[in-house]
Amino acid sequence: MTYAFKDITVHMGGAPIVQQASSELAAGKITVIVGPNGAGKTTLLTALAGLRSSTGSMWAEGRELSRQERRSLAAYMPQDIGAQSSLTVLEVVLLGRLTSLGLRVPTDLQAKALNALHRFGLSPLQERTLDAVSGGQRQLVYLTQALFREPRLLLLDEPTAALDLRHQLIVMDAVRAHAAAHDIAVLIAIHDLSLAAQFADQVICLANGRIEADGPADQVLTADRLRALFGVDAEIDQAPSGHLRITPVRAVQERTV
Amino acid sequence: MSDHPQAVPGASSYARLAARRLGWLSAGALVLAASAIADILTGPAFLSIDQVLTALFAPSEVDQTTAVIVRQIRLPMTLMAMLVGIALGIAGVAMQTILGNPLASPYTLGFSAAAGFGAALAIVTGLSLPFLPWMTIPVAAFVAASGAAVLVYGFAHRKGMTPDVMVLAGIATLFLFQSLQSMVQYLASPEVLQAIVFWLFGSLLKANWDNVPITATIVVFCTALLVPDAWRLTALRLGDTRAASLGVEVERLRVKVFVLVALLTAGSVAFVGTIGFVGLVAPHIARMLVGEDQRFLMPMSALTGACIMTGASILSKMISPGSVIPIGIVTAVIGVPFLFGLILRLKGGRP
Repeated sequence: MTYAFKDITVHMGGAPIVQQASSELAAGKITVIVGPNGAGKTTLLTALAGLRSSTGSMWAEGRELSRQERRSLAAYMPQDIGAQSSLTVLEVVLLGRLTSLGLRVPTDLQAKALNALHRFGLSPLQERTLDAVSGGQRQLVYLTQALFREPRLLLLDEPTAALDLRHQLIVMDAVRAHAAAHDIAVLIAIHDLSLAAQFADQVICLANGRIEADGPADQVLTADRLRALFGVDAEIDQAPSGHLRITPVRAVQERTV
Repeated sequence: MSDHPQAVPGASSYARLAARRLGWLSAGALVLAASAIADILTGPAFLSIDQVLTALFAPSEVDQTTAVIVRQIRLPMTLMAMLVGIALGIAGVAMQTILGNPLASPYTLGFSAAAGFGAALAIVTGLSLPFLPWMTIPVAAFVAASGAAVLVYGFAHRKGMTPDVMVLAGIATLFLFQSLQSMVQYLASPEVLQAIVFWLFGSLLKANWDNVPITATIVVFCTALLVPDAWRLTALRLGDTRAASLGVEVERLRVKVFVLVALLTAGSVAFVGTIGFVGLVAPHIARMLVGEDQRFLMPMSALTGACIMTGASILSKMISPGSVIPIGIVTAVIGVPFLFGLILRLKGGRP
């Protein structure tokens, strides 16, 4: 299954935030979207998820998806983890299946939610309230919730921003394994270019609302492009593990893109 | 997601949590039943619990005076106390949820100030509804409160019904109607002023068998419409974007709840006047007991509101023997120290 979006354009307050963005997202693969602050990454993700109005279209296997279909197919995980709530961790995960919840919570759903928490080692926290766990744990809880929805398209906005190194790898590994096991397409907005290069099957560069490059990490993340896109000099080499390693060295100038 | 439910330890913890919360709900119902009986027992005519229970459940077996006192005077007051407590408890929790603000209450957006203005205007002008003169003041209060709701909605809707805009529009509406209310009071003659002030103090003495069924109908109608949204309201606690991505039509939900809160508030204020703090405090107590799952929080807040109202009603009859202090004064006086206590207990200033 391949999801394609064509000419997605979003205006806010009269100004174009995303302009004619088009690409394809393959099921079972991870696509990473990189770009400087204000490039339109969050706007593009929310537009694809059907959470904000946009022009352009989205297709699955040659069939155009309505906004409502996009909303039910896609799970969007916002970057903001600040919402303070005294809901328990288990309740937050259960909310992932909002449409299956009635006055009673089916026992098989409870068991599945517990199982989902177990996979991230969050079982001991199940009765803790959301405002009583760390920012990193909260991010993991939200990710568990997003996966618990069993979406066909997973849209993650900076999922590793609040996490320590170990949890960053746990999250990215889990997302990759989940994508492969369930054949879902994943689009992740991320700032850490090395993490992007390590896990991405495809990289999209976004600047000023336009897609500037789209392809495999080693072709897209070049020194020249990083200089133009982010205004930094970066050293790019191959790590012993085989991944692209990107080390930003210095800020050089105003961006040219 | 692979499913090996049996492999996970602690699988029954959710059932335990739900059982504990149901326990709190049952306890709340028992306390409410006890305080309702105690409220009917309290009063200048010293009745025994036997007399009260007999008058309630087998009225033909007590003398007529006792039956009248219990069934015509005290029972409507107690029922109205419970209904207003339920209405304000539910409206409070709904308002705090859609505004994402622990300080919100059914009165935050100016509905009750508007109701007060409507009542004051009706008293000053001496207008009377044809056929239903006893409904003049309640209808005026209800219409004014609805007008306030339309005003707030008119502004907030243009900005996408975000909580910030709703609160700002609500506070502006609150000041507008408070000022109008003051103006009416200033212009009124001393006798009329006294009638207005008495109306503004919430008082259960206005309860009777004509208005109790009306308030009951409003409470049942609004509650029935809110219950199906329990999970969606729970999801709203995670923030608008997250709730939307979970499938909640956030703006539509906010508009619906806003209208129902306006209706609940207007329906309770119209007959008994302004009763402060119940709609603010009851949700906090309920949240401490049963958490934020609205399937439990909404009924718990309703029960807590009803318990506070019946408790305050008992106190209002005991403070000054032979007279009934308006219950609005009692709820405010016991509500404020209670609120201070809550603020001290809140974790990091959050709800």
